[in-house]
Amino acid sequence: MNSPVVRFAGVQRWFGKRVVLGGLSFQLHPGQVYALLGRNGSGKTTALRILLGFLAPHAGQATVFGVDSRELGPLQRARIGWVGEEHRLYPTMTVGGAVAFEAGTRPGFRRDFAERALQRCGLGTDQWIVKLSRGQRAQLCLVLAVAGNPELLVCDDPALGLDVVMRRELLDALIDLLADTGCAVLFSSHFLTDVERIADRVGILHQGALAVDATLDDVKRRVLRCLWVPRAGEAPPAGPHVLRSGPRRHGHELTLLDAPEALLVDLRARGELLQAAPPTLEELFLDVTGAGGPGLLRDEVTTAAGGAR
Amino acid sequence: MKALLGKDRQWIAMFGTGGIAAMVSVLCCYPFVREFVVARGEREALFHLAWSCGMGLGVTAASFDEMLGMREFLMQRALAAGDLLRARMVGCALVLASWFLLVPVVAYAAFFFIDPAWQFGHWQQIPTMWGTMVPAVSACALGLAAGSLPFAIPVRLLALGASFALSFSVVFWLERSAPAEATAWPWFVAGHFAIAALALGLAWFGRGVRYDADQPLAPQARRTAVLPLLALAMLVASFVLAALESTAVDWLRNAWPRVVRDGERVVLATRPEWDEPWVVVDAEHRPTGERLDKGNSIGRAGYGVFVDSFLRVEAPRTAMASSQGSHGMGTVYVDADGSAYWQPFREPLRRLAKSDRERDFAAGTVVGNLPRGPDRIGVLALAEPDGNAVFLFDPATAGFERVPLPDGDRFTRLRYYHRDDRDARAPAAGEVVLQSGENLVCGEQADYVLRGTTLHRVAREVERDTQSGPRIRTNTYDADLLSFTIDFTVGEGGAPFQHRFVPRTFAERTYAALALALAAMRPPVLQAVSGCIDDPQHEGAHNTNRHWLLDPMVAEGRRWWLVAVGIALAAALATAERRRLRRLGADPGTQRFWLGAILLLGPVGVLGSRLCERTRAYARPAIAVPVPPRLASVDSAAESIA
Repeated sequence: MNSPVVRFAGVQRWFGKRVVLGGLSFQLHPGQVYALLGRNGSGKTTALRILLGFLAPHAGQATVFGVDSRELGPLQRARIGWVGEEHRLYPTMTVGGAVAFEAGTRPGFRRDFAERALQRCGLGTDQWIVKLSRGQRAQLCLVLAVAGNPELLVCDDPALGLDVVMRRELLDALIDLLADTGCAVLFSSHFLTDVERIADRVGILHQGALAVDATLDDVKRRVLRCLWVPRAGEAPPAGPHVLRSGPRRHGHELTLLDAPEALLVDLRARGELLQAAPPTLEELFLDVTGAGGPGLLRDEVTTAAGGAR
Repeated sequence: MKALLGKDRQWIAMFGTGGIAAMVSVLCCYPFVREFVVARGEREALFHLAWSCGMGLGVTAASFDEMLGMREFLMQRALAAGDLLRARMVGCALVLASWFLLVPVVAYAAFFFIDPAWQFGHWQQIPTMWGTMVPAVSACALGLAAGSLPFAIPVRLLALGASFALSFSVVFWLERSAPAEATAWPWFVAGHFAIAALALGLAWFGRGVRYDADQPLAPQARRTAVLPLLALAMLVASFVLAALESTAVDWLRNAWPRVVRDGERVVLATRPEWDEPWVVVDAEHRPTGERLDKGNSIGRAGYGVFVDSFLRVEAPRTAMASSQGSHGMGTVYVDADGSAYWQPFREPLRRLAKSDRERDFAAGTVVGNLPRGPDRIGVLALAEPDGNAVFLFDPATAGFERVPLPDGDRFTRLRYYHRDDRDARAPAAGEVVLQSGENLVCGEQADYVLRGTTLHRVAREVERDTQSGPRIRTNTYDADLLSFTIDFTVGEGGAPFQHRFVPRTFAERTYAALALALAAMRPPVLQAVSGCIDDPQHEGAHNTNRHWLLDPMVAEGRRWWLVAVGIALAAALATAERRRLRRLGADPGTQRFWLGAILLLGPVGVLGSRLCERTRAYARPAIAVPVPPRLASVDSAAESIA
């Protein structure tokens, strides 16, 4: 395996008394598309800002290309593309001006690629940025980030605030732009259907740390969601393979992890096992972060005063 | 660089054109001849406009990206922090260069259209124009440096205001320390460039520093941002404390009784309101119960200290300004070097010659309007310093008629005469009756007035004496802010009066204690320096203006105990603050930094420490011990860490 492009190792960060990241750890390898998911305020943006050196962690370390994020220099930054959630661009520029600015501040910027991509998106170089719609601005940001020929593309909820059509167009543009580039992508999103379309791996941030850090294939292969209707007097199953058990009108909804065949046979023997299938990402997300979420996919946590310093 | 300048082109263009337009407008408020031909005394409007435009430029350059919310966007470029700062500096330099180059050029061109006196040539005043604009450079650098500070906007604005007022005042006093009243241009220009270099140097060394309210300050931030701010805070605190101390001393002075003359008797008395009778007090300042309906206050007891108007932001002044005089047909200008010009109304400017043989007058020649007689129809006259004649100007021929001063007298100045009825007295034989409001030619021996084409001697003015009685000269000695001795004698052979003023009553002691308490709060390092310096003005001086930086309360080692109290207070505060920092978990370097700062600066240092080392920055909230996710694929960092 190649050395990771991004590595979070026990990153902690708080704002005042509010702990946002309590020990975030994960890696991103070249060519991977990693989706960082979580509820509002779960720390996705904070994690990405730490990664890009905009914020310093209180403990732990985030590295990009093996360099501490606090010490990123122009050489490393030239290899990183970034699309922020607000799609900030200079309102005083035209689209062409933004391209020229990007070309002037990124050594590897592919101007012809950017111009072709802008044409495909229907953006004219003489359009003023201040007059672009939110979706157009998002597309422009994406094109500019990708045209910089990055080895790592970091997108912080790039589709935030876009309607369904614009979101779909942006996603298509992203898929188009990244085709065969081998660029690693780390992005945060609230749109789980989009994530399922493009991500190789997902991390679900919950209570300051990852509750899930797995490939989508693993999620589909190892997690089983089913409805179990027990015979009279039978208690719902428990144990390390049962991630979640929720009562329903006619039985229990179970989420099982790495369920052995014996467990399934036992459930069938003690009741009726219905609709056994891998969960959708949205179902898994709700299981992790919704009601009863805390501690569901992580072991019960113990509380200790102070982070490692 | 090109891309960064392109991004900044809006503010570059805005300040470039806006600044030029504003400054040209200011220049065009005066005639061409006054801006480009003869020396102006000072260009106040241009000076104030230049520094304010420069400061706006610097602040805009520093905060333009931040105001647009582009700080992180720029950080993520493949650029070093130095590249950004360099581009901002270049942008500012371009604007400043455009001002220096184009303001005179555009103003010169504008005068071509608006002033009939315009003439080709006359570049001689452009250097003083540039000199007046130099503060734009230093103000711009201060704006850029303060705007680049990694702190909240109010802190930056405060730092900008304080650094601007202090540095400009320092330059003012530096260049005015020369004996001449005029600006010492080399000092003025060098001073402003030194400010600019210092400000830009600080901005450069602090370019990578960032502020995070949830993290302790980095050592580099302390060196490059906090230290200069502490120095500024020390100066501001000295100024404020000096003002408060001065107020307390003023209260004490007002609480002290006055020396009142009651016939041949001299007593101490107080009067709460000016229209109430005097209440006599004894030597301990206690009322005796005696009241005086009348009485002359001989002296307002006191040895006042006033905060000197140290903060001075004033336009530079040229060594010798031009002189000008007008009458109904036009204006005559005489430049500082003696070259004279005649500008008839709505006609081109004409160069004047003193005579057929001589072109220029002597340097420092003045021009004024002299009435020829009681009808007040005047003539413009030029007079050379130390000359023995005046030159009457004839507009018809654009020539001069020489009129000698009587008795070989030599010219000293022109004086405007205003007659007060109280001065009226019958003229002596041979003297001419003066009209109030006419100009006199003052010679070394006498004053003269023009009548026809001859100068006539006039009576000297009567010295006005408005004293109601003979002045009593009081001697003040052993003077201090809080005590002094006064003695004098009334009349010939009268009994001498002597009294030592010290705080005696409760109110006097309270005001004195307040002044001492305020002095103890001043920065110990400055107090120690104050104790070592001489206070040459204190003997016998009343209401003396003093510098606010050094405390007269302890000057000449008068109150070493007060200096010691200040140091002890600082030590106590430093110890308490060190304990707080240790409790917060600050590293030893941070503790030592603030210990030193508080010992040197006293309460100002504590304020700095409290503002910079916030509890929030050292907070360590309880954090759940992270555990690896149960749903994790191979190669996850969590696994590798576990």
